[in-house]
Amino acid sequence: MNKINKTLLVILTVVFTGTMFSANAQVVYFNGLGRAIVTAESLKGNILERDTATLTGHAKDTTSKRKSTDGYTVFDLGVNAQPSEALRASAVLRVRNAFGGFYGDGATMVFRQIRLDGIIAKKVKYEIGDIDLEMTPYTLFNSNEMYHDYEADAFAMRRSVVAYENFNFGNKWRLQGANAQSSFKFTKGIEKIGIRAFATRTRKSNYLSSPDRLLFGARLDILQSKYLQVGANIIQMKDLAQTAIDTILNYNNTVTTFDGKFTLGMDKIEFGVTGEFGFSRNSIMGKWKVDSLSAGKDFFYDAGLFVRYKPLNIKLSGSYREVGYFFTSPGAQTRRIYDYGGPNPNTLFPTLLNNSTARTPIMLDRMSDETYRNTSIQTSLLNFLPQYNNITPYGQATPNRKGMTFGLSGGDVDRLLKAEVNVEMVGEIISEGTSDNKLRKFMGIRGGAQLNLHKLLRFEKSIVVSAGIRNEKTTRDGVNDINFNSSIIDAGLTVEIVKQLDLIGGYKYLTAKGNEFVATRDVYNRIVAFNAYTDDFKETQGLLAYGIRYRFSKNTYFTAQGISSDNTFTRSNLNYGIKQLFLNYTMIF
Amino acid sequence: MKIRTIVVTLATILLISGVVLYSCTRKKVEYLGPEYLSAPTDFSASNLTVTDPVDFSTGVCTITASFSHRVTYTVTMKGLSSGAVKSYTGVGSVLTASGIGGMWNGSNDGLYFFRTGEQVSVTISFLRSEVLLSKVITITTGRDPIMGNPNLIALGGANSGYENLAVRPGSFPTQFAFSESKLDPVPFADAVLASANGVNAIDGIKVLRFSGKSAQGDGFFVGGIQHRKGNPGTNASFVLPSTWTDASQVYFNVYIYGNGNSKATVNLEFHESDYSNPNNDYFAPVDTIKKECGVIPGTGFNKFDHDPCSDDGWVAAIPVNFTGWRLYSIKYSDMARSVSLPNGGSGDGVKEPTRVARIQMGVVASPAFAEANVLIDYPVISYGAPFDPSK
Repeated sequence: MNKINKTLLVILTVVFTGTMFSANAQVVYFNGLGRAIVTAESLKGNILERDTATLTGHAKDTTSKRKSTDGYTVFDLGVNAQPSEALRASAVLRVRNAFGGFYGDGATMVFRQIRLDGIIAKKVKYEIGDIDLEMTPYTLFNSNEMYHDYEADAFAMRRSVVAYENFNFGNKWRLQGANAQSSFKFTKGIEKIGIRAFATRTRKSNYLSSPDRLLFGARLDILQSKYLQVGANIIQMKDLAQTAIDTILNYNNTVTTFDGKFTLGMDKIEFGVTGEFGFSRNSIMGKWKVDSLSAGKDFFYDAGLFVRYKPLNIKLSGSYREVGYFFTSPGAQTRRIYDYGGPNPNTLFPTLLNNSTARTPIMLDRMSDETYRNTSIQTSLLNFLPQYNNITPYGQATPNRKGMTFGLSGGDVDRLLKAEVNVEMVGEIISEGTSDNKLRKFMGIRGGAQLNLHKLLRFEKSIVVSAGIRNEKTTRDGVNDINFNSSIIDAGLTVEIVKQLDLIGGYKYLTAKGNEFVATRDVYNRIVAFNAYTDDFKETQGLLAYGIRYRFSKNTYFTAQGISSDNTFTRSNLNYGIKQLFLNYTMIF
Repeated sequence: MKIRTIVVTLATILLISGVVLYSCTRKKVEYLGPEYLSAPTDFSASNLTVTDPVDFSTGVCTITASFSHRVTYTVTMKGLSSGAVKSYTGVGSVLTASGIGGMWNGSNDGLYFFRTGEQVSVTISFLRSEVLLSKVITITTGRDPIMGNPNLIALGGANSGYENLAVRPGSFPTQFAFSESKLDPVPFADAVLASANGVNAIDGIKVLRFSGKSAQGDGFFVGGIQHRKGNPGTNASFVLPSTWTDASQVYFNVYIYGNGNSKATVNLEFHESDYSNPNNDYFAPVDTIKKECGVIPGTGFNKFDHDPCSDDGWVAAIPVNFTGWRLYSIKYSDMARSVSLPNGGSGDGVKEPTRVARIQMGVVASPAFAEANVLIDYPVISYGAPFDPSK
């Protein structure tokens, strides 16, 4: 542990001690999380056993790791001091120790979060420091990395660890800055007006070539009545050129949108209209100012209808949207995961082929590796793998899309059944890379069901069965025809065998086949090349998890799982599998 | 709520929406991105010609071919010994010397350089077609990126230094190694065959190896190499050309191989000679020098040498916490001033590339007394842009 950490520890101890003695229990309280994770895994497959020289130019792999172990313990202590309603100061101190590490070698201590918040004059709520922000799906929205709404508990627990480590709380972005909001009630004409504004810094200047980058925005929310609600949003990402000596890239993006919801409720039936529309203006100037690299301005609109049968919570919806090919909204289009691997090496078997080639993440990594997530808003669309999401890789705000979406959902997680299905029939507005101007057409179906079997059987202990599917088909005619299919299937089972002790199991299967041309972009967000998936592309991934979970309380559990991941890549005629033992004790207080 | 209010409100919203959307425009383009063109089923290609053998010290490799249709083609060169790869992609119905991929200067795309004497497979493939044109050629002399390029300077002749000579203390005039390693008798820093370490060299067949545990009391410093333009103590000139005045244009580039054990950091140091500034009038404050070093520079001191007590030392650290080769390009203007007053922290505080008297790379263990294992290859300094072997 370095001197800074030691100093922090001393200061914090003094502060805690002082606070404990001087403050009463009502103004200082603690919360936090403790977690221990242990994994042991092995790698096998023909990627290790066969001589791949003819395929890769490398000799037979004799040096890549076949087995590994990993694990750590973390303790996040949240200290909250609230002397009055107007002020609360909180900090989350993290102590982390990698298994096998000792004091000074492996143990780290950092502040995971620092925040001040409160209410001014009982009217204005404010937050300063590390804040979590979300607006609308077209302005500021951290879209899920893939469809997993009905995956097994075994996978959901693992994914929640990664989400926590990367501050993926719902669809919020973790940012650093200030946020304030207030609302005003009226007695006539309008029920309530809410207003919110924030300002954050998403990048710190390096003082030389990379200036400070700010993200700020505001939302005006008018609740006219229980029938009608409208909102206006503006968000801007802007470089402060004078914060760097020699700015190479000067970025300026503004997105303005308007949204509304009209609801008409009757006794058992509710009918509604929803929508959002807006436009973006984008400006990127290079250092030498030879040309504006801006994609200019563009717009989108998204409007829908729904009808809901209240007693059974059955909802039928339909919508149409068009998102322009130059519509640019970094806060909504930034991906939360690096499909090709993040800037840090994989935690699990990082390289193959004699340590020469980084292993591309598979489903197991996407679910379990804490290093793959992108936690900062990017100005250029990140590359993606179409097998995981080809229709909306950049969320609802994915550019160059227009078409219909239909949805049917019913039930609730607390009832016997919860189920839903969504159908997306969209296409491109303009062709990509092909001069015959043929457009892609996308057909997507996703949905699933969760059945609380114990309610049907009137069994006192919990038996939950879940299943989900996401299927996408991409087609295009013409000289550069495309036919690409991918599916992800989920199945899960949780059985409470004795009180609070569950048997858990889950299976996830991905298959993708066909040809595609996936765009890659430069720092100016221009398409500069296409990564061709040739016709013989086929990939299958199977992920099986089984084990137990003991629930000490609602937020504290221990789980032991065996995980088996089998992956086949037909194009390269390579396969490998990973078997893993996973132990996790988590306590939230 | 009155129906009239709802109707009026909705109408207003629709009106505003219509006006806003009507006013929105988007730039018209034919299609997005560069064009690509799949090969039809009756596609054919012929007449492949490739320069063989090729001597990149005197010329380039010319590739020509003709195709039955306009198509997206990819020309790929693959070194059969080095594993080096170079590829070009273009669209056309014929490949001529002036077309994309028609002329190859011996450069590489990935990590590894093409080697002198190796065989190279030249292949032309076509988008979504089984048709291939291929030929194996021989490189009689590999490309030297530094030759003829005034914006690149090798350290000690770059790899020509340790491809053919040992790098041991005193054995190499302008680049020498110093060791605090416990791995005796194997020198901690030596030019070794890359294959002996289970890796491919970036250039040629040898790499510089740094390995061992520190023999120092604090257990940190393992060893390093230092480069000077002339013999230490002689009246030599500076390392970088006098025209390289802009610190933000000077890059130190080096390939580093890490084995993922996270126990080593490569420290890069640029040592200036501020005493020899244009007016020869800079001296660190005497009080500071006396306090930190106990001596006053000047008498008998070579003005082209770096005096750690009175001159600037600019430093950067590269944690070797990765596996495999990586190319690092560190801009001189991004480097930090040495925090040690008696070791380069007492200069005039101005980054002056033309005053660089020596460049040093050292390996330190982190944590102390840990065994460090680092390989490096092809250290080179560039001006104007980071070193890019693909150009």
